[in-house]
Amino acid sequence: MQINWVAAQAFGPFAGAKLDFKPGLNVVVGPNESGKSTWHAAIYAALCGRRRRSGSEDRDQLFRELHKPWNGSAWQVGAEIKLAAGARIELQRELVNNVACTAKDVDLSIDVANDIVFDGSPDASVWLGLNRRTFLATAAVNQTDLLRGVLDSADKLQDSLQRVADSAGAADATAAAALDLIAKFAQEQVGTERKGAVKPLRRAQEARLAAEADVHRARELHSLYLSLVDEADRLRAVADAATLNAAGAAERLGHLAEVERLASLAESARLRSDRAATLAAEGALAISTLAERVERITELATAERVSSVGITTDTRLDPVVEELAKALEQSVARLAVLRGAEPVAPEEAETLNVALVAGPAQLRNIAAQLDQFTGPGPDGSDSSQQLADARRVLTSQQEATAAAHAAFTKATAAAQGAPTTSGSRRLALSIAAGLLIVAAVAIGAVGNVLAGVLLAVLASTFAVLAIRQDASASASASVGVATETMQAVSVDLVAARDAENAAARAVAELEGKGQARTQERVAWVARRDELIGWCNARRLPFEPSALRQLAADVELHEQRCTALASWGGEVQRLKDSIGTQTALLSTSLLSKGYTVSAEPSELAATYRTYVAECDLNSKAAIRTETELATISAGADVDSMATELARRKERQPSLIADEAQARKVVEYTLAECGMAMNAAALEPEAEGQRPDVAARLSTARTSASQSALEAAHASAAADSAAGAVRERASALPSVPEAEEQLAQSDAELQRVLQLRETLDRTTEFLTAAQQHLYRDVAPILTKTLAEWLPFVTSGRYVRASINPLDLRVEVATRLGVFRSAERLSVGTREQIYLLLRVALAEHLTKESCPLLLDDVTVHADDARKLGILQLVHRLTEDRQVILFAQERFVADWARANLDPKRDALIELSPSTSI
Amino acid sequence: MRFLLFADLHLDAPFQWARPELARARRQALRETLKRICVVAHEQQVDAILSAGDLYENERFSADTAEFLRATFAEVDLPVYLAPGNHDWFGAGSLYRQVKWSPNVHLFTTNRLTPVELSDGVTLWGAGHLAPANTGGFLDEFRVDRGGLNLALFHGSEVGELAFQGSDKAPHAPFHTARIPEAGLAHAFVGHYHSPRDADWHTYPGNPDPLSFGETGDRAAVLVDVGAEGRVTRTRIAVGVSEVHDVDVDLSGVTHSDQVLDRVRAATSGLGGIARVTLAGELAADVDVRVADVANLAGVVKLVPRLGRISRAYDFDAIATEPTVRGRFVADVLAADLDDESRRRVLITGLRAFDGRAADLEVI
Repeated sequence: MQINWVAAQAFGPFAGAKLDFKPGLNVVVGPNESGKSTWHAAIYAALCGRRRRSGSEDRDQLFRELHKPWNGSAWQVGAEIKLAAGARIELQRELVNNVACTAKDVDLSIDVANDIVFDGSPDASVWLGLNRRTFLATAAVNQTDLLRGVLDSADKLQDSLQRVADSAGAADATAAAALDLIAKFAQEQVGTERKGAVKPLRRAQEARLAAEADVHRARELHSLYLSLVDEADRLRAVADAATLNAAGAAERLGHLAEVERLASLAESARLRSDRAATLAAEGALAISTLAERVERITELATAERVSSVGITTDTRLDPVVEELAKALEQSVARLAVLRGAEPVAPEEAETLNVALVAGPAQLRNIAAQLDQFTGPGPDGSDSSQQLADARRVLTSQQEATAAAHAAFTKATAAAQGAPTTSGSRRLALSIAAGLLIVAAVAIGAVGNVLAGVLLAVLASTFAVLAIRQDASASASASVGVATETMQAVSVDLVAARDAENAAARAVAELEGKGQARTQERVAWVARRDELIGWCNARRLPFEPSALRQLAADVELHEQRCTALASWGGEVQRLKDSIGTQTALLSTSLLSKGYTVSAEPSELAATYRTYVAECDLNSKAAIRTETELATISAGADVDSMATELARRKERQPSLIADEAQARKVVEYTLAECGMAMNAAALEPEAEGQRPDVAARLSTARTSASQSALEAAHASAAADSAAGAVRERASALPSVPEAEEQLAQSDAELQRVLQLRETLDRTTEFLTAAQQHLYRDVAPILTKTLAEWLPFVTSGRYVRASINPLDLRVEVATRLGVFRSAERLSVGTREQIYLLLRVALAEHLTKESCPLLLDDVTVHADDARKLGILQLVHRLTEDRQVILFAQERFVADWARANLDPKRDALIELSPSTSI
Repeated sequence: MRFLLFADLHLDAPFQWARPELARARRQALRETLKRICVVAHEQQVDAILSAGDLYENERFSADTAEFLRATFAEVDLPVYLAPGNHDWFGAGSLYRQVKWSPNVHLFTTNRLTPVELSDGVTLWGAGHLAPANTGGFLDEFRVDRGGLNLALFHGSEVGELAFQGSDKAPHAPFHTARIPEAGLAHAFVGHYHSPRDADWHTYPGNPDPLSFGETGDRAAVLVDVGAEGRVTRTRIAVGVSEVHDVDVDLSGVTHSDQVLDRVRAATSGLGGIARVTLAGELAADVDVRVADVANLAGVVKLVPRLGRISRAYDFDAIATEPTVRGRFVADVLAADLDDESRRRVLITGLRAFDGRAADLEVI
C-alpha cells in the first residue's frame, strides 16, 4: 500500500490543504508549529477513520480535542491510496458525525467502504491486516519509540520488539506484562491453599469448612433434638400409661368406695325409714292429745268468770284503788300529826309593834351608829399646844432673822470700809441651819408638823450659833477678810430667812388643822343628837344594846307568825286532799259495785272488803291457771291450735316420707348391688356380702402405688419435655446454616473458578507467546542479517534473535556473538528501525507505508545520516513518510532524493497554518 | 362439602440463593401464607382444611415452628386434617409427635389409608409417610370398605405426571391416577408436586408460596366443593404473600457499569417482592459488571442477580487473525477444547491482561 495524497479539507488549523506523496521516501520538513503532527494525524484519520460506537474511548476524546477544525463546523479529511493489487481508493471522511465516510475505488467508481468496516466505520488498515488500533503501533515510529527502544535501558530493545510482536500496539501491555499482571492478580485475588494464608482462596476454604462444620453441628444438634423429642414422646407415653393405670386403680377404688358409700347409705336409709315411721306414729298421737287439750282449754277460756265470794271479779287489787286508799290513809294520819303539832302564837306589845314597823335591820343600823357616839367626841387640846410651840419657834426664828440681817448689814458696812472676816466654822453652822430648815419644811409638808417644827427650832439654833460665831469672828477678823465675812453673813441671813419661813408655814398649818377639828366636833354632836331624837320619837331606847335586843324580838315575832301561817296552810291542804281522795276512792269502789260512804272510816272498811274479795278471786284464778298450764304445758291455746293445725297438715307428708324412705332403702340396696357388680365383687360366701373394707384397703394401696408410679413417670416426662424445650431454645437454625454453607460454597467456587481461569489464561498466553516468538524470530533474524553489514559497515555480519524472548544478539565475522544492547546508540537505532520494518512486514498482508515522526531529532549528524541512508534504502520496496524539523535533513533530502520516487515537502508556519 | 386444600408449604425450608436476611424473610413469608390459608378457610366457610404433606421440613424445623403450627391450627376453629409427606414424615422426633395438637386437628399417622367420617356418607381416607423415603404407594391394593362418598388425602407421586414435574422430584409413594376410581375413591387430594395440577381424579395444589424462581402456574390454595356424586369443583385462591419475579435484563450496548444498573432499574421498575435478575447480552469489553452492585440496588423489589450469557465486545475472530501473541492467544483459546463459559472467561481475562486492567481480571 502506498499513500498518493492526503487532503485536510477541514482539520485542525488546515482548510483545503493537501500533500502529495511519492512511492519512495517523502521527507516532510518544517520547524515547530508548522503542522507536521497535524499532517501525521490527518494521514491516520484519512486512512483509518474513527470508531463509531456508543460511548467514546479516552483516545477518541483526545483526538477530537486536538484536531477538530479551528474554524467552521465541518471536519473532513481525505486521502488516496494505492493497494498492492493496483487499485486506487479515495477515502473521504466526515469526522463530526463519523457517518459520511466513503472508500471509493477510483478506477471502478464503486464504494468499497463496507469491505473494510472496523468498529463501525471504514478502516483502510484492514487491507493491511491491521485495524485503526494496531496501525499506528505497526506503521508509525516516532522519536519516543526510538528512544525507548534503544536508549532507555538494555532491555528496551527487546521490550519494544515484544510490544509490537505481542499485540501490534493494540494493547497496553506485552505478553510478559500481561502474564505478570495475571500472576500478581492471582496472588492477591486467589492466593494459595497453604495453611496460614490469608488470601481469598484460603479464606473461602476456611469459611466453607467452618460453614460445613456449622451445618454438621446444626444437623447433629437437630438430630439430637429429634432424639430428645422422641425420648420425651416415649416418656410421655409411659407416663400416660402409668396415669391410665393409676386412673384404673383409682376407678376401682372409687367403685369400692362407692359400694361402701352405698352400703352406708342403705343403712342410713333404713334408719331414716324407721325414724319416718316413728315420726308418723308420734304425729298421730300428738294430734289426738292436742285436740283434747285445745278443747279443754277452750272450755276453760270461754267459761264465765264470776266471783263466787263477793261483788268484784278482780283477782288482784286495782292499783288505782289501792293507791287511793293508801293516799287517803296517809293523809288522815298526817292530819292527825299536824293537829298535834300546832305552833306557839306570837306575843302582842306596843313597843314591838313600833319595832316591827322599823324593822330589825333599821334598829341594828341605829344601834351601830349610836355605838360611835358613846365617848366625849373629838378633842382640840393637843393641837393648841402644838400651835403655841410653833408660834414660839416662829418668834424665835424671826429674831434670828433680825439678828442675821443686822449682822449682814454690819458685814456689808465692814466690807465697804474694812474687810469682812469669815470662818469655816461659821459657814458650816450656816449650812447646817439651812439644811435643817429645808428638812423641817419637807417633813412638815409630808404631814409631820411637829417634827418639822422641832427641826425648824434646831435650825434656828444653828443659825444663832452661826451669827454669834460670825460676831466673834468679826471682832478678830482682819480687815483683809471683810469681804469674805460679808459673804458668809449673807449666807447666814438666807438660812435665817428660810428657817423663819419654815416656822411660819408650820404655824399656819397648825392653825389650819385646829380649825378643822373644831368643825368636826360640831358635826359629831349634831349627829348624836339626831340619832337620839330618832329613838325618842318612836319611844325606843337609844341604847345600842337595847335596840339590838329589840331587833331580835322583832325577828322572833316574825318567825312565829310565819310558822303559824304555814301550819294552818298545811292543815288546810290535807283536809282538801282527804276530801278529794275520799271522793275518788268512793267513785272507784262504787264503780266496782260497792256501796260507799263519805265517811273515811266507812270508806276504809269498804276498801278492806274489796281487798279481801280480790284475794279470794285471785286464789280461784290461780287454780284455773294451774289447770290451763298443766293442759297447755306453757303454750297458749292459739299456739296449741296452730301446732295442732300444723301437725294435721304435716301428718300426710310424714306418712309420705315414711313411704319414700322405704323406697330409698330399696333403691340404695339396688344401687349397692350394682356397684358391687361394677366392682366385680362377689359374695364371699353363700348369702354373705363381700368384705368391702378389706378389699377397699387393698385397692387403696394399689391406687396409691399406681398414682406414685404415674407421678414419677409424669415427672420424668416433664423433665424430658423440659430438656426438649431447653434444647430447642439453643437450637441453631439448620436452614440458616445450610444457607451460609451455600454462600461459602459459592464463594469458594468463585475463587476456584477464578484460579482455574487465571491458570488457563496463563497457560494459553505463555504458549501463544512462545509460538509467536518462535515464528517471528527467524524472520527478524533474516532481516537483520541482510542489513546488519550495511548498518555496521561490515563489522557485524550475523544476527540471532532468541525465540523465547526476542533478545537480539549480533556476531562478527569471527562468530563472536554479543548482545545488541552493547552496540552503539546509532547502530541500535538502525537495528531497531530494521526490526520494526521487519515486524511491520510480518504483521501486514502487504507492504505497509511507514510514518516516521522526528526519528532523527535527537541524533547527531552522523547518526542522522545513518538513519536517513537506511530509510532511503528501505524505500526501495516500501513507502516512507518521514517528518523532520532539522535543516540537516532538508539539506540531505535535496541532495539525495530521487524526484521520480521521492519528495521533499517543506512546511512553514506562515504558509501552512 | 367444602374444603380448603393446600400442600408443600415447606416451612423452615432453606433458601440457599438468598442472603441471610432475605432467606429469613422468605421463611417468615411461608408462615404468613399459612395464616392467610386459615383466614381464607374462615371466609369461605369451609368444612375442613386439608394439608397434603410437606407442611414443614423435618430435618430443619425449629421448636418455634412447632408452636406456631399448634397455635395457628388451634385458633382456626375448623377441622384440620394433616397427611405427613416425605419431608414432614411422621416418626421419631417428628414435629407432629412433639406438638400437643388441639382437638380440631386430625393427624394421619399410619402409612395405610385410614378413614375419618366427615359427615353422613362422606369419608376422608388419609395416610402419612413414616420415613423420608421408600414409602410405597398408598393406593396399592387399597379398596374402600364402605359406600357413600370416599375421598383421599395423602402425599404421593402420580406416576404419569412425573415427567412433567422436573427431574428433581423423586417418586415418593407413587400411584397411577387410574387406581383412584378403582379403589372406590371419588377424588384424591395430593401433595408432592410443586406445579399445580387439576386432574379428573386428583388435585395437586402445588406449593402455595413460591419456593424458588421460575415456578409456573397459580400459587394458591384450592377451594374444593365436592358434590353428592363426587363431582369436584376447584377454585384456586391466591394465599401466597411472596411476590417473585424472573427478569431478564439485556445489557447489550452498555458502555459502563452505571448503565448496567440503570437497565436493571428499568427492568424491575414497578415490581415488588423478590426478583431474580438474569444479566445477559453483549457489552463493551471494559464494562465493569458486578453482581453485588445489582444485589445492593435500593428499591422496593429485592434483587437476586445472576449472570446469564454475557459476551464482551471483543471481536475474537478478528483478533485471532492478528499475527501477534494476542492474536495467537485468542486463536489458540478459540480452538481449544473448552466449554463456552470457560473459553469466554479465559479469552476476556487474557485480553484484559493485555489491556493492563489490573483490577478487573475476574470475569463474571
